[in-house]
Amino acid sequence: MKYLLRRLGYLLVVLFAVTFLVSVMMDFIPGEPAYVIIGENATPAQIAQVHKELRLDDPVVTKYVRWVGNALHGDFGRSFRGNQPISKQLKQRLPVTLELVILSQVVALGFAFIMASYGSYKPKGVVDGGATFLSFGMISTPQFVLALVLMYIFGVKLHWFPVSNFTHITKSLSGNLKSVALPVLAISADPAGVYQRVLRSDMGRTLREDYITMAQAKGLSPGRILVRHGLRPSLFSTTTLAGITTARLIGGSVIIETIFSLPGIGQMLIQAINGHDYIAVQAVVGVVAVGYVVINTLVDLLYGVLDPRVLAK
Amino acid sequence: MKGKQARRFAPMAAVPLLALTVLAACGSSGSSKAKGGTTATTAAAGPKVGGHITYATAEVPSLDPLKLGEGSTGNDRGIQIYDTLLKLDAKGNILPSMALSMDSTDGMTWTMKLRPGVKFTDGTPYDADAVVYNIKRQADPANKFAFGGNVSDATEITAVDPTTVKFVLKAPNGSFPLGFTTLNGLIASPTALKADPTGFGNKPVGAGPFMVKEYVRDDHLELVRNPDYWDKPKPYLDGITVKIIQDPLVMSQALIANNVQAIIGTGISLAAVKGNNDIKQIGGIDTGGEAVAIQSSKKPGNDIRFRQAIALAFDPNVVDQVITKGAWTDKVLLCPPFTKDSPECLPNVWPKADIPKAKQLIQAWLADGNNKSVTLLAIQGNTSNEFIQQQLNAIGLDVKINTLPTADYVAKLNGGDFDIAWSAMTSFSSPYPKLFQYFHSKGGRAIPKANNPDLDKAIEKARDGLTPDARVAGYKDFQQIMDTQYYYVWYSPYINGLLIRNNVNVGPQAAGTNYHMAEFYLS
Repeated sequence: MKYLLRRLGYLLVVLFAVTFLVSVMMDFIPGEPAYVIIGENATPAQIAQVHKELRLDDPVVTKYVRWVGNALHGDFGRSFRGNQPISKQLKQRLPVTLELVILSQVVALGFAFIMASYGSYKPKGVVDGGATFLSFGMISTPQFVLALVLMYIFGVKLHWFPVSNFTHITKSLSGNLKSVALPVLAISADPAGVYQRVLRSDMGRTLREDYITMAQAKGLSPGRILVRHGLRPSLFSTTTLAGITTARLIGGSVIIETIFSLPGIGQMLIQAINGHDYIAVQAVVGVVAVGYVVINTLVDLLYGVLDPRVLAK
Repeated sequence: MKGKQARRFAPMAAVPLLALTVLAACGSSGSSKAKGGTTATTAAAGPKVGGHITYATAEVPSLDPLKLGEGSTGNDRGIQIYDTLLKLDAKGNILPSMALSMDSTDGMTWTMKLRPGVKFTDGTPYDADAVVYNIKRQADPANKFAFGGNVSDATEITAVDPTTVKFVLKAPNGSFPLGFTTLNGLIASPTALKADPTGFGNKPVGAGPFMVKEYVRDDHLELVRNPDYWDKPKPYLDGITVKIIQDPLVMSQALIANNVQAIIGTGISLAAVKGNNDIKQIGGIDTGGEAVAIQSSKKPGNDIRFRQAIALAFDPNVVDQVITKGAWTDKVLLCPPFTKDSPECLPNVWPKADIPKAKQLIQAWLADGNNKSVTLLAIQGNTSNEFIQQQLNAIGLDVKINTLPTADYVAKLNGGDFDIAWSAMTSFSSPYPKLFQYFHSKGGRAIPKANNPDLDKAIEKARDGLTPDARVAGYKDFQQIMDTQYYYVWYSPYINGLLIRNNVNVGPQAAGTNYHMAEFYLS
């Protein structure tokens, strides 16, 4: 419990620091938000009116305290661009990004578990060598290059997957999975390669432990040895990596969402930045920060499940 | 595009009394109506009714008519939701639409007759009161509507009866009806506007061929057929999804992959789909173009040697290679911003590229103690910025680029807060009001800040002429001045038009990018 409270306190401190810093930074960004709201021909009087109505000239601390107060009630304000409630936009867009991140992690971890386990079971075989080669390729290929190549081959040439049309999961599950297949592959390639390399190394070490030899001597099946006795103790590094990567992907989906025109928060962030919509930027960054801290807290808690000695310490 | 301008004001020429009378349209050519969103019923020997297309374009600030721009900057959605009071045909003749006619005997007092019995999709009558409410809203300077200047000269805008609107102008203006073929012709439901003035842009209500089913900002706009549209069986399509895609290359790939069926063509997208037999192009080299605007009321732009040097600095072959990506077939700027087929075209006055002479001019200008360092005002992400910088550095200038987000860029551009600036004029179906806005000292933008009374007079002559010949003469005067004073240096034509899949037919359309998608149908 004490451990949990400590993590919670840490979460609050990080949230405060991130959102406050964003407030300060948005105040320094050049440009006039009033132009976004009332158009490019705004007069000085109209600009002054907008500043007064939205209290844009208040001190940054006052604006921040007001923002936190509203955000705690689920009110992130209204977008300068289009005058829509930010909370409504987040509600529409967050599930898209979360779906991308979750599916990408499932694909990446699935690839790593299978390849690392089999590679450890039959080291230096064709599969092990192939997986190593593939992993290095996936790690060293920039995400946007892979996205464009996948789009060209499977979207433009073969017409297997859509290039840009996102289908919401409530409209069609199969359509939804088709529409996110290429983005998920593009996102998952890099973490899949990293997980495979780390897990393969950790499992190789674990499988050389004495208790594995004992398990083999007792006649346990290779599958049981690999999964039950080999995989679990080898997951520490991969879990840490997966936690960091998941959190990173929430904010890092900007490029992929832009390339595939996916209506997630990454695209929302880019459009908000370009449009000087700092209220939207603040909300998105706040959400990403929450995601980052929450996921890392969960990872910390998961250590305790993987190895109870962590909690005991 | 051939001959597209040749007939722009033909209706007015044909009526000696200067009466622009647009005869009532026949209205429905058949009574068949698409049922329940299903496809493939056929209007009597006409286009197929039914089906759906996805059209990709960029997002706009709002769907409120006052916030829309022409073509792909908003009117591509506005026309579908609101329709227009009048419209242009492929030959540039003014046709009835929501308004049946627009008459004047002196160019000052105009009478607009509205189509009776039309209602907005919220049930509000589309009558004279609704039109007056919208036009007054457009004219209100507080609303800062880009096309407000077209109607702000009206001293009287009154509803004579439910189907008649009377406009009295300060001075004769033969071009007055043209604004109603575009943004001034978008009429929104007054009931919906009054109910939620700030939220209207997200829930627009019009009387156009389509109505909004769903709008997810920055992602898509779902339009479905308005079952009570006045011009049945149009729209032929059951619906249109407007998909927001920012990148023209991604847009092109989505078109090739048939994820979308129509996009606005640009140099990049034309190059991307070149040779693809499943895609056709509507339009091409059009009016308008890309240019370097020169702030001519202060240093360095107030010296004609500086302006002329920039006008001579752009080699069309290089421009086509870098900017238009091979789509500029003839590589000649004969009479920008008009096309060679425009009646307004004054050929061979715009100078041809001459780099050595441009260098000489700059050297002479620098010898007088001027500083070669110049700042180019530019928009973020525009591929032309570095190109302009390179071309101008090659003639002896030292160009720094100041890139800004769109809103800030436009504010500086309109306010004259720049040395030189990248600028683009999108294509126009009619030169009025665009050229008036861009170059007249009271046009709202007056981008080069020329402060040239002769230029103002030429533009006024073009605007106010009561015959087509008089207006064409005004535009030729305008070109003569612009082509020898170099306030706005054209370097590329506007490559434009729709790129669509072969099975999409656009029906009769006017030149430019203000497409009436009610005419679209599938093969």
